[in-house]
Amino acid sequence: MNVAKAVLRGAARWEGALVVILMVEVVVFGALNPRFLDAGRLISSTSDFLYLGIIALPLAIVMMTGGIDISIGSIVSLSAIVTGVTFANGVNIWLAACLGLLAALLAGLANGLAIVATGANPMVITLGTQFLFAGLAVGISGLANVSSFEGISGLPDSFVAVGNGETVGIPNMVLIFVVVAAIFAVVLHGTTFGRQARLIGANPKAAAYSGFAVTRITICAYLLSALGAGIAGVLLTSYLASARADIGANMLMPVLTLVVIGGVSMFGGEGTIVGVIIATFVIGFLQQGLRFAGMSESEVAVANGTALVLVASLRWWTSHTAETLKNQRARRRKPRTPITGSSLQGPEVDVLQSTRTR
Amino acid sequence: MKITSALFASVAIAALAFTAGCSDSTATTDAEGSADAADAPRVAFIPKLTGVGFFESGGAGAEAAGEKYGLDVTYVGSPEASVAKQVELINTEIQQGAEAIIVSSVSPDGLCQVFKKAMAQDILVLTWDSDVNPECRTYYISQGTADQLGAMLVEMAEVDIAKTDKVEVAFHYASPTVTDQNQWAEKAKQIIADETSWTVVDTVFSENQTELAVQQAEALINANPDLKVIFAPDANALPGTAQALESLSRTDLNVVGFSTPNVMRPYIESGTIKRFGLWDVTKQGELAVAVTKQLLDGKKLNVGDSFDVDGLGTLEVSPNSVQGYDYEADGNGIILMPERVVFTKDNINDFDF
Repeated sequence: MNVAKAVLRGAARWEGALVVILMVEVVVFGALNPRFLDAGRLISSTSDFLYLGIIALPLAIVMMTGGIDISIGSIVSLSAIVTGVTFANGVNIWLAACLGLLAALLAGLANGLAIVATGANPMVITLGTQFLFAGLAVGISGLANVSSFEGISGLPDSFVAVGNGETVGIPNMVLIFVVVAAIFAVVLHGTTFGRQARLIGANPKAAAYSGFAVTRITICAYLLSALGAGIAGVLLTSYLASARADIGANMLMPVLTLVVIGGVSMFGGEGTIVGVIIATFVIGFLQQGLRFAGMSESEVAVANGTALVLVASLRWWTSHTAETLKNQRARRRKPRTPITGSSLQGPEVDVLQSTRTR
Repeated sequence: MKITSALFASVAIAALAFTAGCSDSTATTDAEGSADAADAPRVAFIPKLTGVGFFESGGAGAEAAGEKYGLDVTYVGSPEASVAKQVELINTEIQQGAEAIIVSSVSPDGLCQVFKKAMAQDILVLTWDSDVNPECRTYYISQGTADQLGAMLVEMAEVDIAKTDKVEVAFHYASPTVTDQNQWAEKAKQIIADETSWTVVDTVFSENQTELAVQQAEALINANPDLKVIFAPDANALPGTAQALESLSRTDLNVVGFSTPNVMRPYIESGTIKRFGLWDVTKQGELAVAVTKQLLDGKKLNVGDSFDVDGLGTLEVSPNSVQGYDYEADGNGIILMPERVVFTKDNINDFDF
């Protein structure tokens, strides 16, 4: 029950605002260009950005632990090219896709182990593995005698249909996204792992002293983000019908944008999966709508960047103001029980702590 | 909690109103600009990436031709050369009701799915500059075959170095895996072996990196003191090699290759290099739109057919085999640019890309 409450309470805040933005987007862009509003179009066009959401969801979990995974783009490339190269060497395509996912998991394990073993900043470690995995991907593509420019094609129709086909009128990409999102929502909000992951981000020392298996949880978080990137790599290979070693090269920044707009704190401890799911659509439709309104790609990027900066500052400003108001109210009422005693129990306390430390 | 959510919502709406304000103004200016083209068929002209002089000029040529032929040509592209981004852009164009899509593809096979989807909706799909597998498009507007461009490299060097001279020559381009440049270099090497007394002593690669291009060229020149000609058929390798000649103060070396006039202008003006080649990309954009116009008007073009284009003369549809493909079909082929350009001190100021 607590879980459901926490989810609801979260939804009443930032997530609620995101839903409002999403609705306003649809209305405004629909007014600007009626073609935008076509329901079939709205649904089928999501295939162009949902894969970013599939990477962003588990990355959100990593960021809630206070970490970050810069290497996701390279893991996307790695899983795509492993799938392609093993297929080109005669392996059944479905087995090849599993091997692609396995390669992604191994990459995630390498990230997690390196971070836990060295205690170094996750950004530094994954910055390094970003180049390592990207290089591996290009190197592996040589095993199939293709240049990174060409990509591996000739994939079977049944595999290509995974990313391009429809089931009962709904694009497969949407169905896969729904399943993946549901799984990650349960993992973060409904399991001990999820709660502990978030609390590690809120206060790593307290988490360690409380006897959390910090090492295991950290490694698991990086495994999950690698798995998300691996799924996206295999899906994109199917969607484009071509396995490429550079497919994830420009993916990091769009994915980070989703996570941040989704309301996940860069400092860990805060955020919900629901927020990231809604942010995926908010940003996806924002970019589409701006294109439909006749903007060039650079103008869309400017609008996107502006939105990111605005959101980041709004998040701070609104939570700061809300905090001030709450403190004023608290001062007017009789003093409540001291907050230090329950330092690991409610989201309000996390907010207090994090605003103070900043 | 109420206050928080109210705050979030109000500020968020304000932010969106701001964004909407921006797009509103863009939309109106757009509408004014193409008011007469409201009913004109929409044609998307897509580069590998934007912000590069070469592609911007191609786009300018295409948009100018659009006005001439009564087509609503829009030049749309992403600043990143990425397959996923191109697919997304093409999807957006399909959804906006484009009747033709002309693309310089980042990948020979990565766009096939989206192109097949477009063709299933009777949208005309052409490629320019960089092709996809022929079964995924109708026509490719090509700058020249490997034979033509390889021979052009040797011809540019022949002006100063006689075929019978026993001299050392070398190649410098992007990477051993770049399909088109490799084909040109292989063809040029074949001509050198068959028709001249020149010896190819080395081939170096600079991976599209400006600094590496200068370093590789300097190393190449220092390692081969008797080198007379460097062939640099790459937009990065050519200026890099020219820069290396300037920093080493060598004037006895001939460098020829392919790059864009705006990049090479200082080296031509200083006399470091005498000539280099490319094709007129503005005309390539024009040609692509002219062909699109004829096809949209219902004209059938098959291999061997010839047709007239205002300002470009009579053109012929070549079979896919000129580019080394096996696939041939009706309404499918390659349209070659009638000529390529050698830029020298005399004509370089006529070009701006």
